[in-house]
Amino acid sequence: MTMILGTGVFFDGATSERQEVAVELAPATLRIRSQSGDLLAEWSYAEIEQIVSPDAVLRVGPHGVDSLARLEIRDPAFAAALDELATTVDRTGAMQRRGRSKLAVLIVAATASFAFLALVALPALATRLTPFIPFALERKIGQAADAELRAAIGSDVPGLPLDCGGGQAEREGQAALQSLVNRLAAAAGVTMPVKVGVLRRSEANAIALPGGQIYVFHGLIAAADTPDELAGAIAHEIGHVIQRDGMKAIMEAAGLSFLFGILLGDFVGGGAVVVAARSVLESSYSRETEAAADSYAVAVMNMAGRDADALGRILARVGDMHGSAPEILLEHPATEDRIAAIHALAAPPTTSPLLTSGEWAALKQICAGMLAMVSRRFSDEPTSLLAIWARRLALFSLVAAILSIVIVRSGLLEIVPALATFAAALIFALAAILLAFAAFVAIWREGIDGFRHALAALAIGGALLAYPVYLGIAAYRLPAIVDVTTDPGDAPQFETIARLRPRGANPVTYAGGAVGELQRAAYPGVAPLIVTTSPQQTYEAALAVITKRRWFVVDARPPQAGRREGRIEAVARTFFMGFREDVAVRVRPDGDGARLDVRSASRYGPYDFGSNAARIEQLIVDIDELLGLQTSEKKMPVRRVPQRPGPAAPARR
Amino acid sequence: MTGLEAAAPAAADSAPGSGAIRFFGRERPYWRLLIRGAFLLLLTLGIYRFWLTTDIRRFLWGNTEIAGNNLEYTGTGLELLVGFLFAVAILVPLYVLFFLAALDLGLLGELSGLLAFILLALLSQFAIYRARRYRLSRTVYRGVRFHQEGSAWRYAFYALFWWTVVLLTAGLAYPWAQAALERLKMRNTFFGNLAGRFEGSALSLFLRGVPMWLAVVGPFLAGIVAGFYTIDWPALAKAFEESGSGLGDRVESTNPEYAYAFIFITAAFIWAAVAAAVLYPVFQALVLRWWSSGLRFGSVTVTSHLRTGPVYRAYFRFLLYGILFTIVIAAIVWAAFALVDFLTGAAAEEENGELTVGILLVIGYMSIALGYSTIYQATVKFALWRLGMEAATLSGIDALDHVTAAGKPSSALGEGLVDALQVGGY
Repeated sequence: MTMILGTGVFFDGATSERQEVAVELAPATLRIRSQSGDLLAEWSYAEIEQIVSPDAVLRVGPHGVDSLARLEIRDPAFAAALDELATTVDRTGAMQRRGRSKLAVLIVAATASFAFLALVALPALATRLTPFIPFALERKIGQAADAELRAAIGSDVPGLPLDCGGGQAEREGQAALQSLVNRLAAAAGVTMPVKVGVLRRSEANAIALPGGQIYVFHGLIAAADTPDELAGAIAHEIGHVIQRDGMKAIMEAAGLSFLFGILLGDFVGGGAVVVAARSVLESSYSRETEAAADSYAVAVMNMAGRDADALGRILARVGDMHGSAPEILLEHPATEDRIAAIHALAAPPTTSPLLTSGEWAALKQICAGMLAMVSRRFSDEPTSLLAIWARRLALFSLVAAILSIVIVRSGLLEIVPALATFAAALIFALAAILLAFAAFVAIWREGIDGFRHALAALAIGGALLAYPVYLGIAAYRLPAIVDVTTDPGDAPQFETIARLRPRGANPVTYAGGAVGELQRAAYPGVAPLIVTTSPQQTYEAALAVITKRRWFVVDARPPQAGRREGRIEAVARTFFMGFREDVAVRVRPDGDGARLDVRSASRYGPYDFGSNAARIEQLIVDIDELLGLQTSEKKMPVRRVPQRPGPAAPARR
Repeated sequence: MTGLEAAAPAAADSAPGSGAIRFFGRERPYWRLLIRGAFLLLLTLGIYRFWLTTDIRRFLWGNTEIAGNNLEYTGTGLELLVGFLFAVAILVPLYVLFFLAALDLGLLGELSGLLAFILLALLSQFAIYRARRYRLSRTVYRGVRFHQEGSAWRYAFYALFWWTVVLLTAGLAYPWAQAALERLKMRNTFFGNLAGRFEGSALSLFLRGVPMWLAVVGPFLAGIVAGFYTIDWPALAKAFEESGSGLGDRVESTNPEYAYAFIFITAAFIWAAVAAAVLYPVFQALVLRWWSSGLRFGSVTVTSHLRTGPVYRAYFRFLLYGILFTIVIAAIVWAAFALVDFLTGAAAEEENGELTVGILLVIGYMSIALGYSTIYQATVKFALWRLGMEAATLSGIDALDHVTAAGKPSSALGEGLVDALQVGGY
């Protein structure tokens, strides 16, 4: 096998000197020699590594060793020869991609194990570790949680504090509540202090904080028919306190936020994920935790000798009239399963009620004055979700469409993403219309509110779609031509415009042939303007009309008799989107008068929705009119009959 | 990333004698690299970032040509991962310690917050210096690597001092802080055996920047001062403490000029915020130009002619792409929620439904954050690198021909700390 010879630039890794070298590609090794023939380096092909560099340069160095010696080859043929010999040189990037996909598999596996850690290992760890946390520490954390709770929720009655029980009239009820809790605690044999307070909130709910503080929302007291129902709910919360569920949840949240925060890093701004993850975690205890608290409550009620089934009854009742706020007692869902489980464990009552009827009446007086609000909250007539979504979707598509038009017109971004936005907006408008119809059906059948929303959605969606639909019909009826001219045989050329057209636009040369035939069939009105005025006059009229229309004139050369034809090149913009469409006008002498030809072409896309033909027709009518005005004093017929049948039809726009 | 994908077709054949800096990276492959990286980040919950960072640097370095020769980035993703794991091993016990200290009431608990803040600030500066050391020692030019010496702790204390001064002077000392820190960094920076230094004049940066300071910080300070003097704070606090309705009346009676003061302060703050947003690109261009023009290596000097217009354009593009992206994401989120609504219907309180919404939220958040970060990388960061490089010219480049290699590659611990502490950088 012969040796291939070439040249390159060599850096030896010891100094920054740039050496022009001769390179020999031997069968097994690559040899680098100085101009005087000394051997500077010899690398086997297996140990060569390619290093990222601009396209025109192939840069290689020895792989794996801590050497920075580099060889740069600029001759493409010689670089290809080296590529052929050295399997490690990877100009196409295929090897790198293969290595990367292996890495990706490994990383995905790592991710899966991380998910396992977060979803399984962390909760298990929190459960194991919680018993070792001193109760004093838990109470401290509970105080912090209390402050946070108060920051998150406020009193439902403006002007009154969140905590109930402060008033003279409530003292008796407060005492009754405490005696209820004391009896439960005594029955359960709870040793740690359990405090209970009532919050001025209308939700039927109760919360247990870490450290033994229980809050009953006033809505729960209002919803309870008997002392046993309230007692069952409180016993459930005592269960959470005893099992230290709040502490477990906080441990889990802390661990999760730490894991997420550290792993996600700067690229995604991990902090907010932490918050999101925490809120997901804190929003509810798991089904198992809840079931455990339920069975604890049943056991306590059985020990107290009262009706444990009451818990199931109040669950069923408040489950039916769910409010909107966070529902910590009953967020858990499969309420029916819970009720069934409670029923299976409950024993019939054996002792007298926990509270006397007088005590119970007093307890009911805590936070008095909120009932009216509670009942009003659940009586509103529901609004059709479909209608609301239909209107939102319609508004959204409107905003998106306007924005995409602004972006295209301002020319600040590439055209493709902007058009994609516009297309998406139209799709959303269509979806809004469909949803609105579905909403009409729902409103008709269920008698719910939301008719106005649906109607608004229909109107906005319809308004947005009307014009594109009209264009679509136009495109369907018209042939796919974007280049229209009055003279398909010898179309005016784009000379200056050719340089203005961006890459990726439609071609500048007129296609001729079949396109001309298609055009003649579709737009018979597109014909040259043949007038009796001189070429100079005609040219000036054309330029005046174009200037008046504020097209951007890029080139204008007046005709010179016998030497050259007049030509104007200009860029027009479409009305809505401001797309650029190129126009060329050519004026030639024709007998005594002149002949004016026009060509108009869109820059992008296969359809012009007839805009080019309309533009040409309108332009010719306007020029004709202007010439007629100028020459009317001389009473001369300006326009002569064109050669082809079919005079210029009045343009539509 | 290979050369084929990365670089422009333009030939790198400029005469070695010219001191021009050119950048051959095209935007399209860069977008592709970032978008693919974003998907992998999403899939791997962010672990891929070490490899993405490496790819980005390889692309930017490899396509930058200084006086006819390319830069080269020799770092690897694995190095960054190892550095990060070391950083975590250092930070976890520290965090646990601070958590426990914060729970303890009394003096230790009170002080622990402040102490943690100072220690983390120090550690951040330490990390920035060490990360710079790693990046420099992985930067190779003409077969010779850069390196950085000097104690990172010394830099950390020095930087903490200067940032405190900057804070106390409401930013007026920023030019002197920058110049001092940059001098310290560049004094310890070497290309082979060629020592670097920094000759930017703090005064000239100050004189150019002070109009901007007046436009942004001036009104802000005026608002604070006005608030301090015109509002009777104890009375206001008392008015808020009294519960019940009629808060507005009580505020009115205790602070008769409250409304005017409030309007003035709000206007001052809004003005400051708007001016800051509008002037930020100008400021960035100014600092970048000043910084590059002050760089020296032996007899090699750098001059930068960076203009402000293109920097603005980069931010504007970021804004527009950001808006487009927001629209797309909003559409997807709406569709997702509508789907959840319809699928679960009235029984939306299903535990699974709640969990689905939670997971959707997290994924949605991550996609949004990744999207913006990708757009920012591809518009602003890319443009700043390209403009900063192309605007600079070198003179006295003969000194680059006879540099002897020196310095060793250093560990990526600093990069790991920077990552874990989230103090950022290229």
